[in-house]
Amino acid sequence: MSQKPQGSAAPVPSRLVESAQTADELAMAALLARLPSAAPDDLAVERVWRRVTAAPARPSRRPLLVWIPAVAVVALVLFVWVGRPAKAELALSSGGVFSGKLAEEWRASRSGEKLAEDEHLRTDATGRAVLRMGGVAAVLVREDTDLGLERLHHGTLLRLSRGVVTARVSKRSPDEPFVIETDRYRVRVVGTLFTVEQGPGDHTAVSVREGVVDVSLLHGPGRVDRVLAGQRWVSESVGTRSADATPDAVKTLLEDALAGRSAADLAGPFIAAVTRPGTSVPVAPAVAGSGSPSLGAATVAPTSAGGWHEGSQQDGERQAPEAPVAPARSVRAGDPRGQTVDRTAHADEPAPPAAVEPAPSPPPAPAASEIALPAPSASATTAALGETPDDGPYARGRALEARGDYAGAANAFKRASGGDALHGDLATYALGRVAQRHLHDAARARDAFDLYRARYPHGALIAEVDLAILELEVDAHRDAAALADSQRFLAMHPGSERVDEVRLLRGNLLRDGDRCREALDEYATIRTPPFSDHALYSTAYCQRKLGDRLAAAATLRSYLTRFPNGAHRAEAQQALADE
Amino acid sequence: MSDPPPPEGSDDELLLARCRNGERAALRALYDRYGRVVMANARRMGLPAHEVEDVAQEVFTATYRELDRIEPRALSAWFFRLTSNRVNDRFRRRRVREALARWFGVTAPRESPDRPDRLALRHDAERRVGRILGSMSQKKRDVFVLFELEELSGEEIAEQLQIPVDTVWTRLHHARLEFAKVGRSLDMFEETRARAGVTSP
Repeated sequence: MSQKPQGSAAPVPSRLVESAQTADELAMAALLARLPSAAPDDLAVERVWRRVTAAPARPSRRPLLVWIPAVAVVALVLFVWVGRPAKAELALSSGGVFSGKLAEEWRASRSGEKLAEDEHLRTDATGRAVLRMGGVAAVLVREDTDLGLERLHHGTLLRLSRGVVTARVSKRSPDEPFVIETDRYRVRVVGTLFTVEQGPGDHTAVSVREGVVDVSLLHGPGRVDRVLAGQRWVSESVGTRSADATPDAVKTLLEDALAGRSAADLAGPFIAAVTRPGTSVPVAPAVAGSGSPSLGAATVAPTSAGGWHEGSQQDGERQAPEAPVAPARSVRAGDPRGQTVDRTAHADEPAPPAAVEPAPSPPPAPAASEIALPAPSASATTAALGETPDDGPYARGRALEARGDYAGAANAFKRASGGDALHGDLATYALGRVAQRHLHDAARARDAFDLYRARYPHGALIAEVDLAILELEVDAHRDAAALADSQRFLAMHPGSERVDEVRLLRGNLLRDGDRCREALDEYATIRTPPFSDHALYSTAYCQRKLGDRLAAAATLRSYLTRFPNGAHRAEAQQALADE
Repeated sequence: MSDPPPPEGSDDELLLARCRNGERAALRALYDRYGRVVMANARRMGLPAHEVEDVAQEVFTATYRELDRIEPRALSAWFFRLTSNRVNDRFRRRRVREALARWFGVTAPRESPDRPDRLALRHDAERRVGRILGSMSQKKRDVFVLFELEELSGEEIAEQLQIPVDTVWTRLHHARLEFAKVGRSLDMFEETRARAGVTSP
């Protein structure tokens, strides 16, 4: 290649076709030398002239080229901005929980409510809440707390003006820190589980369960106090550290919330976290009598106080003994009646769906209403004095149930369900569940569930109650009533996690009632496993029963493709082999 | 090679003044003076023949719309710059289309083969050069075309592009390197080498 000329004094380069030397230059020159003339012919020149004069006023395309992408970009930005997921959501709440912007009207907040930047969340003496910042953190907000959501994007900044919060923070990048500011201090974390409390005056305490937290003055000298896992830092004695006492129950709750578990899944851990002995927070000595709770003296209650022991309760916490336990659901697909009848009546058909194992029952789903909880200990001071919260008939019923004394539990729940008892809805449901599952007293269970329906038509457990009644109908072989109840369930709870389960149940009822065409419609709407597994196999069964063997074979092949380890694999293979 | 650009100076100034007054004959005269140059330049820049007419139309439509903005003494540079910009727009759009086609596994739409002007495009050397030029940056392409194909002097190129002569040589140096590099990457030289009896390095 020719040397680059340096300045005007440098030799003027020759054209490639005249001076090519290297292989590349020769190839380039050969290519250029073969170029035909570029001069346009007269016809082309005239053609262009006609086009120019025919459309002289044609608007330039440049504005369009600029504006169309610009408008598209703006629209995209707006779409993303408007459609972006809310960064903070009230995952669960109990008691008096309010939100709003300062100087604006406060509104009562309920589970599922979205909170925006600049809003504050306040709890009164009975209020507790779990705040979830999608993928970033889960925060347990205690009683008498005021928490401002000052920044939720590009880092999180919460302002704790009063009260106590415990946060589980996912691993954050350094440029998107999670910060809680109290009146005087800034608590900055990059992934941990910790508690911050802001008392009257300058009192601040930080208790770290996991990870490391830096505490610094909001204004003033740049001293940073590092609080390590297991330590508790108090503003009145920054040089010393006491022990952190954040209970496992709180950890479990916040990790579940951070993992995005549904309100139903959080209900049990929530109750456990906010009602267990030892999780109520006494007043820190420095601010005793102020009514502001503190984790400072939080201690784990002895096992004799309720059979719970810090450090050994991981499993127990998950099971959340206080939480109502949903009964196992026997899906109608497993009804042996249909299986026997159909096998004998249609030997050449694919075996009807075998028994379906009850789906894992998630805890009862709270609906729009908030979860009824026992009131927090009358005051933090009484908790500090060692009084145990929640020892009413409902708690006794739970204890009796845990010991296997189901009759005693049912009586306790019966007492707890009367009048305006605080645990009325939980107790009523628990009574029905114990009667149904343990006492096998369908009439008593039905009475309890009917009572729940009448008394708490919008209760948190209404979907579970409706499903339990549906089960009772199925167990009693009242198929028509079960079909009606299933229809009612689907109409009343279209967003329930149990919808596919109920559809499968309904499809099987129709199938067993020789209404295969209607059953097929139900099966076609089922999407979630394991119900989709049973639904697809039952679809093949119904198609065969309706005489459409080709469709049935195709469905069976589809079944084996989609569910190679499905519950009906062997039957499907056998049915195809018989074809 | 194409016709040399007409002499600039008072003729252009007068012609432009008449055009600004809306004289249709002056518009035609301006087209007669620069139309062929624009089309030839567009084609030399590697544009397929059937797109050359579109570019020429765009250039003159824009020129007639913006007569007040044109500096009379730089009319030739105006047309070259406008042509170069329009050609560059088309190359950019073509690259986007080809990239999209590659990403989505779609075959890029082909031109109708029976258009008469496609015959010119089938000319192998022109196709190859057009392909290489279309992949080069606009600044380097302009200098390369004006020097190697239009055979203008450094001073003439500097005047056309409104840049110093030294810059012309610098750009030409890099333009040749890029032409060779793109040609190699696109495998455009193999047949030429074979015909010219040149062995690969």
